Amino acid sequence: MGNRLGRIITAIFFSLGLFFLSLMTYCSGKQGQTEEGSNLVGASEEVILHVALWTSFPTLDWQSTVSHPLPQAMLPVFEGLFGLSKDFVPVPELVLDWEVSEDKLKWTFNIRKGVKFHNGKELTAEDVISSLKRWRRVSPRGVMFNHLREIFAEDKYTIRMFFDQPIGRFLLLILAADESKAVIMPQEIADSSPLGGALNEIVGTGPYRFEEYRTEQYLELSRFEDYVSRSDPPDYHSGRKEANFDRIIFWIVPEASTRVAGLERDEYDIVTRLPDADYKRLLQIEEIDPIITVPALLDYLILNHRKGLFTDINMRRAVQSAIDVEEVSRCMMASKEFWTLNPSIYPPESPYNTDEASHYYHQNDVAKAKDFLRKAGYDGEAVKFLVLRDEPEIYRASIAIGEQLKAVGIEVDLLIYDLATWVAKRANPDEMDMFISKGYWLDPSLFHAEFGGRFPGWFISAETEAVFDKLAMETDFEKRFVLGKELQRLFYEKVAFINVSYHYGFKAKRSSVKDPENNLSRGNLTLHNVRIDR
Amino acid sequence: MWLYLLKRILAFIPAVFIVATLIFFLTRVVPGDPAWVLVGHQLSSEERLAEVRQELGLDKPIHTQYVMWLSKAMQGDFGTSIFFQQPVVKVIAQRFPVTLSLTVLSLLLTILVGIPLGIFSAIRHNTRVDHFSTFFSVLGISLPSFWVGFLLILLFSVTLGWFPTSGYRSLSLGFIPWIRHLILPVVSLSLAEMALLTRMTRSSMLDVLGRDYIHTARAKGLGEGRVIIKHAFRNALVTVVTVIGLIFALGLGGSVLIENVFALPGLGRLIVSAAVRRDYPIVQAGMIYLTGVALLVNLIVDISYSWINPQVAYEK
Amino acid sequence: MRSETRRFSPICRYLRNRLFLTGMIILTPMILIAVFAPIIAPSDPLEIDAVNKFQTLSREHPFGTDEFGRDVFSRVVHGATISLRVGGLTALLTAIIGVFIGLASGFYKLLDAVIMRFMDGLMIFPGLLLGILLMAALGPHEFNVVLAMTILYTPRIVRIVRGAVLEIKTQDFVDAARVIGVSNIRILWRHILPNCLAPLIVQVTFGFAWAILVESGLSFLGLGTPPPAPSWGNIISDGREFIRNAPWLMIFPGLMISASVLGLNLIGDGLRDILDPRLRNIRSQPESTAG
Repeated sequence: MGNRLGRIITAIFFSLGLFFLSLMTYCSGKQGQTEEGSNLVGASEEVILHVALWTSFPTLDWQSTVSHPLPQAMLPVFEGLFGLSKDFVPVPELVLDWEVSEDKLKWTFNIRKGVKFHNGKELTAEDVISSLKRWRRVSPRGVMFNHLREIFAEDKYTIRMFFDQPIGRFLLLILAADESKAVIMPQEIADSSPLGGALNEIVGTGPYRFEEYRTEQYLELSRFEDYVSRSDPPDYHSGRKEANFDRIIFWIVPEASTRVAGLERDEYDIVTRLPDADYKRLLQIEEIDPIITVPALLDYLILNHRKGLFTDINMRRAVQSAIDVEEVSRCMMASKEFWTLNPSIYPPESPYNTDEASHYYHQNDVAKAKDFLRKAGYDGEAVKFLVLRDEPEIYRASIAIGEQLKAVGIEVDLLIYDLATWVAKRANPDEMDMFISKGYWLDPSLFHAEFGGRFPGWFISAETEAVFDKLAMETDFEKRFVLGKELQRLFYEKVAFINVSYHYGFKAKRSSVKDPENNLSRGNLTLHNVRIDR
Repeated sequence: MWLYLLKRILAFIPAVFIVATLIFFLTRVVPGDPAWVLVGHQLSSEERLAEVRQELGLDKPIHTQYVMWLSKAMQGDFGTSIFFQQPVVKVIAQRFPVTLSLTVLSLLLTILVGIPLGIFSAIRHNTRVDHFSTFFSVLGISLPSFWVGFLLILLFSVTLGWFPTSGYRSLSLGFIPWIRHLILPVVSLSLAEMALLTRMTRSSMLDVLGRDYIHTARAKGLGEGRVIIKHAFRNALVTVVTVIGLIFALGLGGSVLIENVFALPGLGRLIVSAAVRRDYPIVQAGMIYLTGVALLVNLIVDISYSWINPQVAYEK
Repeated sequence: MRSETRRFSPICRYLRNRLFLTGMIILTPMILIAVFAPIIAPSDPLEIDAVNKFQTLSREHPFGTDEFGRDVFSRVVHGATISLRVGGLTALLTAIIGVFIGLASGFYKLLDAVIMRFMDGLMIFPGLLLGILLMAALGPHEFNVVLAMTILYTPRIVRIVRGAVLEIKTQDFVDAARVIGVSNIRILWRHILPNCLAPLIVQVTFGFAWAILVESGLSFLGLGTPPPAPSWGNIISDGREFIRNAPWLMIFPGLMISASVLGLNLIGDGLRDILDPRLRNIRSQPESTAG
């Protein structure tokens, strides 16, 4: 065969190889100047904050959803009447001052004057009323407003609310909570977007305005030049707010390892939801500050109280005695820094945290569990354990608990589903015996939403309802604390749910990002007053 | 020729219809309710869910839904995404460039490597080069593409830091960021394709090289290069084009794993996440769209036969 | 050379084929591992030992431990059982169903039009995506994985069998049999089926390899064999989060997938050469997960 042809082809190969090699080296040159600089083209002196989020937004309608990471992206855009303080208690945000009648039925709120919406309009009482009415309708927590009889504007800046039943400071917490937050938007937008999940326009009063959302790619905010800040000192959600960036871009980066790598390569300034396995390594890197976030999230096992095996208290007790919280926590989290043993239903950061009835917690007592199984006359029927695959921590906790239950002789069917199927199945009493969820309840009253008979698991009892009623009216902390203890004891005795772990969240930032109030270590993302020193 | 084309295009219709119907019912037997996914997962009341279902048209009997959907789809209206609250066509149009970039680039790389390697190893039949390329082509189709992707990330991104581990930058933000984000995905996707094309080129070249007219051409004293390119390769091209068409069509759908590994916001990942969220309109339209593209590529391949070899008759 | 080969017995003919031999050398240990997994694996693949998680490779844990402290070696070994079982079952099912449909379609003209339309419809789909939808519809169960993959792969078998039938049908001995009055079923069974065996066996071998790849891909996406079962795809999928800290979690199962698929592909190639050299172009469809 012709050697010439061979040589020609070899030459072609070599040149091809060289071409790709040079392309690769060309492209792999330090990317700094091209990477983010050319991204979303803008003047080069613009200060842009790049944040990596872990998933996209089902909707941008914050009022209508408790799902994350929407609060992360919307906190800079929207404000509510109240926000949370450093200690997770409600503090005024758009509200100037308020008062409540002696019988706790009539509330009056005065809002701040001269606050501007992003569309230039001034905030008035009518905007607040329309927004709250919309929230009541579209929010999954809107039921908390069940006893609201009337809401009306007394004048341009005064709102009055009348209730059928007395309501205590809990009202402020409802207004301040940052999941499905009761945010304030212009009246015409609230009125023209009656359906949850379908907000016509994203217009708030926050220090940043909404620019653009490209599904599953990025969400962009820009500084709102006419922002009217409070003048009191910064306090987590509230207080003085400064917008130090021309733009904030939230990148949607579903792969955890990609977020980590992007942080290391300086593509992102702040990165959320990191696998804690990377904690120790990131701690070694000078340019990176790992951040452990509080409050601790309670991971809890919910049992079906309406139907099936766990309507029997002895079955519930058996599971309660079998759980080894320490092992579950170790399986969930890679580093010790990210979990803690704590017997309370209120996170360690909550003022209500207590060790009441803690002998029910973390028992890890196989013999006792078997005893309860015998009492219940358990016949080996398989427990339908719904497992959500999308959340690695929950997924690992479920697998660990599955093994622990098998060890005491409970047959477990691990049914692993995607979010949609999982949500649908857990709502059906016939298809669910147990599942794991997570959350934090800084105040005892907040438990009522999930443990008042409505939430899957359908726990409800006369005793706990009575405690909730008392809590709704009580404003004095000491008395509320006692009620909180009682609630915890009742939950333990009735095995409403089972604490299986407390774990902390993990974010990280470049050390060039300065966070003077240390807000990044709390809850979601609070980006006002954060700045970059290059 | 035109008649043939028309026939082929008409033959599309039942195929697309079957696909559409199958997809529609497949998505509806899946448990899980988009209303649940939409209205937050907690505390929503039954009334609220019913409201949303009505709004989405999910309260109607399934055959009514099917007829409604089909008649709208025939007019090019695939409805509104439940999750994104945007017209399905718009959502797909946003994603398609990613998948297209990935597919076209890997096809390009596949052709650039596969065909020369295949020709070369056919010419050097039973030499070391040939053995190497044969082994490479078996190995290439045996490695899981997503695993190769992770190995590439481990080596080129984590260890060497040459490329971003994942993500996508659109071409409008500049060529360099675009290609940098695509090199590793393209390489992992095209490994199997390259292997396949090498293999097919080699075997069809071997086939042709053994034929009489090649010997005749050589006997006539034509240069070896001319013999290979003009006579042998030209005749082997029919097979090669078929394979290229297949690779392209399959790459469109098959890139889903690679999009997943490298977090590329492509069509495959869109369809998978839509399936998970029970966003029916997206799943239906996305699958039909991909199928349509696959059919179109098939057609182009068929037409190109006549260009390669005018003797191919159009009557079948 | 050639005359020499003829003197060997059939087994030697197989063993003299380098591709087949290499394939067997790779695959045989896999099969042995799969069959004797409970004996080979030093510990229970599901047993949690949270204190000893993320151990690197050691004598006690040759492949290290995972995020639950489970022994990765034991998991990978048990994964062989799952992967080969799922792949093998798929190959078997596609062969049986494919032969039936293919014979019917090749033999009865009326059926042919309908069946082939449907098969073409199935083939047009982007395979993996259809698999994903099927798995979402069927629910997570090992047998459902087999079922979904069977639906995906059967059309290819049908095509092969049908092609062979059409070719054989025209040959004299079939006509002769028909003239004598042999029943259709008997003709199919006695004369046609044996003649399409060669391409069938080759295609089924490739199907086996394909099934292992696709199962791992589905598991990787969370739609394959449900965890905690240690299928290879699951191990990789669980390990992706720890790629930097514990790369062994994904490297070893990936090697196992590659090796078994490689082995099967080589065997397929070898069989094709041995059984029917004319079939060189049988692999007209890409078999990788990319397809």
